Amino acid sequence: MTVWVVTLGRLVWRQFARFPNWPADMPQTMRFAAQWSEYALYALLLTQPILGLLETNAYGDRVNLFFLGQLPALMGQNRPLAKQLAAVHETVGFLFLGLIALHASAALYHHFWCRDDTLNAMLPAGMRRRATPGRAHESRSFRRR
Amino acid sequence: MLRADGDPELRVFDPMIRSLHWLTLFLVITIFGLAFSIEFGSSRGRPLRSSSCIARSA
Repeated sequence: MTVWVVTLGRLVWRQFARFPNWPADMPQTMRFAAQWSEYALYALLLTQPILGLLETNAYGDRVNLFFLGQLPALMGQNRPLAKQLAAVHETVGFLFLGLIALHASAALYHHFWCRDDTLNAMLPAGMRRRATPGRAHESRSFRRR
Repeated sequence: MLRADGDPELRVFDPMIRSLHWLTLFLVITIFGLAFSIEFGSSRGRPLRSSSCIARSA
């Protein structure tokens, strides 16, 4: 459930935050794919915890939040529905893993193949690749070939 | 659109977005790690109450 709250907070924060532009030479199709995989990741980050919560409730159990207290049940016990929810939760989980792998692969592709700042833009300050002197601020794409 | 109007002068995401991104990754790794360990552990009949609690909470 924590990841659901974090994702919600992140989406709210994004409405007010500024963020870097796409690399200038990034093809339109790649931008489209990146944009929609981002939407899908956010959608799954919000959907999967709710599916898990409903599945837990349908099995007649309640979510104990870090041993601090139980969250209220959203639905009553319903074993047949619980089994269906478990199957959906598992399928969505594997879909989510696939998207994460795709997202990480794309980030590594940009970093090591395209050598642009797509991954650098998200890395903590101490882990960023150093900019080539004289080219750090010259282009929108931040390319450093 | 989430990134339709990027700032051409900005080189990195703001610290809050970056923190939340890596926190999300940490939570997702924790959840999947626990989910797979519960799946593996339950077949051996071990008590997994605390693992389930942490996985559901995360």
